[in-house]
Amino acid sequence: MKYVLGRLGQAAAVLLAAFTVAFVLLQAMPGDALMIKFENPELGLSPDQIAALRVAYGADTPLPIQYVHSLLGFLGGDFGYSIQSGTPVKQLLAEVVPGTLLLASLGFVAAVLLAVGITILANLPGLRRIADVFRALPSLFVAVPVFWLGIVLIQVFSFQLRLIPVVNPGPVEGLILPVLTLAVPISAPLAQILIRSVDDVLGYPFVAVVRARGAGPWWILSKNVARNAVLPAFTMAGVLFGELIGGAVVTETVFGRAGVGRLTEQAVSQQDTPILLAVVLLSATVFVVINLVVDLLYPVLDPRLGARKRGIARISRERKVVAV
Amino acid sequence: MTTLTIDNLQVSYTVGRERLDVVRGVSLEIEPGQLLAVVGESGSGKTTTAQAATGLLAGNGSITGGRVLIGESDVSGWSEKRFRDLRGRSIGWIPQDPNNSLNPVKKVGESVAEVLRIHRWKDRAARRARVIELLDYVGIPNPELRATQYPHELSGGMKQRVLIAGAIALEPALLIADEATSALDVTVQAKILDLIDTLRRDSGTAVLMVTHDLAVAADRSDRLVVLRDGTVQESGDTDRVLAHPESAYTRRLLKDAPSFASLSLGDSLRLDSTPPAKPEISRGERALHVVEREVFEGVSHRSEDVDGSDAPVVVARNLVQDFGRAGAPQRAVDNVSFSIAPGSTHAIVGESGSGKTTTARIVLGFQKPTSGTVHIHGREITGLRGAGLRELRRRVQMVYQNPFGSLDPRQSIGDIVTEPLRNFGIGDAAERRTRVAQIIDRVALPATVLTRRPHELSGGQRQRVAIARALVPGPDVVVLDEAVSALDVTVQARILELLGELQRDLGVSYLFISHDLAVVRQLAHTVSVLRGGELVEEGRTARVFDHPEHEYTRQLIAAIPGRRAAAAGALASA
Amino acid sequence: MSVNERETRASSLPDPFVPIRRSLRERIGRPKVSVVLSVVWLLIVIAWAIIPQAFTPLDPIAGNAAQAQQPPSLEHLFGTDATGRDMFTRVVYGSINSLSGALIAVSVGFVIGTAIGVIAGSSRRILDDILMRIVDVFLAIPSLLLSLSIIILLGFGTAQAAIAVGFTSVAAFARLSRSEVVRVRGSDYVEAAFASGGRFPVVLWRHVLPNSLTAVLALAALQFGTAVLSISTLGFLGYGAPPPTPEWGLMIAEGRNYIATAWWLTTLPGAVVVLVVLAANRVSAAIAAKGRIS
Repeated sequence: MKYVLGRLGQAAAVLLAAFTVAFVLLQAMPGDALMIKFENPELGLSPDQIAALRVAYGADTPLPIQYVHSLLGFLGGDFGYSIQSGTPVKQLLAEVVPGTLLLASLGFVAAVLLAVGITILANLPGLRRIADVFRALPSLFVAVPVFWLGIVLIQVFSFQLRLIPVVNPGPVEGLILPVLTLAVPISAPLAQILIRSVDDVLGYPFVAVVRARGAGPWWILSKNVARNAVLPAFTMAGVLFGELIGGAVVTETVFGRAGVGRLTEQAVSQQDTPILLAVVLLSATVFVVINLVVDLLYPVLDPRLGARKRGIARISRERKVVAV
Repeated sequence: MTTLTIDNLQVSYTVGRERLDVVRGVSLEIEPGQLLAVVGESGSGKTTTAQAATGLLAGNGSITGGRVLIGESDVSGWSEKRFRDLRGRSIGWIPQDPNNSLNPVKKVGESVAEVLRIHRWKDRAARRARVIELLDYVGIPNPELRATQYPHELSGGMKQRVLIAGAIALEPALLIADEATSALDVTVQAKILDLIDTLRRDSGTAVLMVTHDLAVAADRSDRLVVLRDGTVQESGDTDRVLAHPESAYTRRLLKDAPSFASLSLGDSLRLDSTPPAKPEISRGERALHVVEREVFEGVSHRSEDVDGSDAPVVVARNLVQDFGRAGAPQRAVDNVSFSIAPGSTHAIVGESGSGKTTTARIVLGFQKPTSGTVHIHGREITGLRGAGLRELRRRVQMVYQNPFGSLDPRQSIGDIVTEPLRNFGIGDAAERRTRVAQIIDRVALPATVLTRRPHELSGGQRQRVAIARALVPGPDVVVLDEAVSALDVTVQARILELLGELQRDLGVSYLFISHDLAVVRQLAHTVSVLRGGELVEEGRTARVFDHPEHEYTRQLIAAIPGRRAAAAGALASA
Repeated sequence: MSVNERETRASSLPDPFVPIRRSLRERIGRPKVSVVLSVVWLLIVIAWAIIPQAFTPLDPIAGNAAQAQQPPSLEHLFGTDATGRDMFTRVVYGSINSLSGALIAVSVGFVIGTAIGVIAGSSRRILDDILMRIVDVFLAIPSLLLSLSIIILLGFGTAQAAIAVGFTSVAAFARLSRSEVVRVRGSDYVEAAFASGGRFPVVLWRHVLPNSLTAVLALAALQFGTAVLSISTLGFLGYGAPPPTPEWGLMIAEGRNYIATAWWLTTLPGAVVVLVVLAANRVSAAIAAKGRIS
């Protein structure tokens, strides 16, 4: 319990620090977006009017007060207003989050299926001869730019094969290519870590023991290696989420889908910092929560860790003799 | 019917384009209930021979000649599929390192049951009952509870018992034990070997034991096969081989194995280097009173009062070392005291977790003890920092267990040995060169090693380099932390000889940390026995070994393998 | 009675204690075909960046309207775009943007990250904890969002995009170099160096850094490929070099408008990106593997 509380506190500290970093980067630095927008001569605003606007946006208050103000706002679910449209950021996000959530979760599921599939194919006893092909696949996948993949998929499936219409596809049809585009680069690091940990586990002495008990390769893989090999992949969950967000920005732009990614892309083009700040913080929060859940869940999945965390680990530095 | 017949077996590995012949014509036969030991040093092909018998050769290995018969069927050409049915059912396998040989995320009961499931043995309930029965048979107390635990909750010896339970679950006719006790503490090793003996008696299982430890093999086997470079050097009834070894190699192995040397060949090394007499006697007296703490402390005081050359080089008093959180500390070292006379060797022996390495690290100044003092030449060294610590390190040097890990892989041997001189600012470049050349010669290495890198040297050569590095700044004390444990027995014997010579010539003192009582008996003048961080016995080596006072010391000594061989050797030489 | 006589064993089993005396060539092993190909390909791309005019006589900016929208041919290997510019020429001239950008990015990540990692790994608990928590914060922000935040701050442009990408790899370099330093510090030979009277900076310089470096170099090669990818992504989104600069990501973005009629405008530049990243990753893996052997 003490461990859980400590871990929660740590998560909160990381979030606060992430907020601070984002705030410093986006809000506190000179050349703020307000000036860019309102000092534009075409608007013909007088200095007084600009000053009034700055007060309205809270830009004239000293930075520490702005910092506390935004922090309290964020804690209360108030993300400020978009500079471009004046709409509350919260409202903008609420409109697009469901779409992105659907895309991202489908993409994630597809990525996991793809990665597990590749790992199994790379280790299948009957496929030794072509295993190298599957082993090379993840390296190819990581090297592919997401935006290019999306474009190539559109070219192939929409223009060459004419399987999926470009204009006004149905809700399901419209999701196939974006999900695939998102899934391929996400699956690559996952497949890499799975393949590597399967290789590692296959080299452990206990696998040799099971072999010496008469187990075949399939038995060894499914009944002994699988669970051990999956464990390291869990630690990647947070990083994969980050990749999903980045992938969503690009995928939504390529396919012209409304979503958090698209909103972010537009916010950057228009220097609309409050939106970016909110997106950054939301992602950081999700990242921290994912890592927290993985950390708390890990001891349940790996019995060894439960013991180590409870401090039963051996303290002695005494070394076992290396058997010749 | 012979359980296992190996007839002129030849095995090769393919590495790159090269073909390495690892087993070159090995023959042996095991009858039911017999224990045949295959003994050899690293690279002798002993493990490969065992693997070939079960079709478990590594992917790049293959049988290139000869036959393997299990019972009456020739299995040498069998497919992997046919072998699978044999493994676990007709041949049981006990692995080398119990600590990594159980699936860490499986309960141990499931691991034992796995072999039954693989061979589709009866139903779930019957399997469960069988697992409990097996765990009980191999001597695991409270088997119902243990079956539901994970491997990390069990001790090493316990894990090895679980693995044996899995190996014998289907009552195979043949059991292969591949260095099955090498990673275990000596008292645990003895119990596991007893278990294997019981098993042979109870069910007539034949055992093929693969080991580097001639003493273990000699104690337990009916027949011995000595391998070297993939060929049989000697083969026959154990009693005959021990009493009248035919090959020169076997004779050398027998001579070099420390337990035989100390029990049968006498104390040659120890007596060679005559230690100062006076502290020896006072230490002997002290040992008699070791149980009574006050007396002991009184004597320690006195030993400090001794003047001049008789004063001990190292005096450690009441060392206590706690680790972990302040609230619930774990005590690794608990009130340990000892001293080392100039030019003598003091050994700290103990099994894993005894606190012996921690004690050594305190003496080296790597670890500040929770309480207690260490005086070197009368100077307190615990808690030294900066210049004081560096000055200490000039006087106290260290040789590690693993000669590969203790030498920087990117440096040449010359750089490695020169490093202490550079660090301590001893001599100019020319003088350093001379001194390094001398010391390299002194440890009997050719001058050409200076330009080589560690990976180009053998284990024994590397350990000589480590010794040279320790000696080059001219220390008073060298701490040897399991410094010969990772070496083959013949190499080990040469290093021990070297250490003896160096002590005689240079007058350096050794603090010898070891789990191996046989080696300790051979090298040390005085000895402290540690268990669970506590000092259980201390005194002159001969006294401790011949008349142990503490029950634990008696157990330890009784567990040293090699009695039978020593007896046979004594018989032969008589 | 020579030492060799005593200890050399004729056996050639792969045993760690058998003396291994191999030439450099044997130790590296016969270089794998894929590694050789990768290195050759990277050298070609570097040559494009340095002397583009040696590979193509055409101009990357000025187009020939008469030859607009031509599919790939011997004359125009990668075809031409809507204004008649030769795509192969643009790809060749574009390599300088991608490579120098990736170089800047890797340098930023390498220098800052490794500095943090080495300091954290070689200092006491408190400083180590503080530095690594800071790194954790950078990890918590998805890398694309982090680089977008930095770009908002720095403005659009190739160099800005490169620096932004570089910052996203700081955490990876810091974590790896810290764990390598900690690993090497825990080794017996570093303890032995202290026992031989070594002072901390000397031991760090002589033993810890050289032995930690291989893994970090492998990461640098890996990050080079990743940086090429990220920079082209930022270019595609329009935050990198402005048109008409021949930047790979930007070229693909421009080609999107002709996706129905001119596949080569997007496919071929993208394929070049894929090959560069693949090659960099392959070289990285080779460096890492060599580090494990020696």
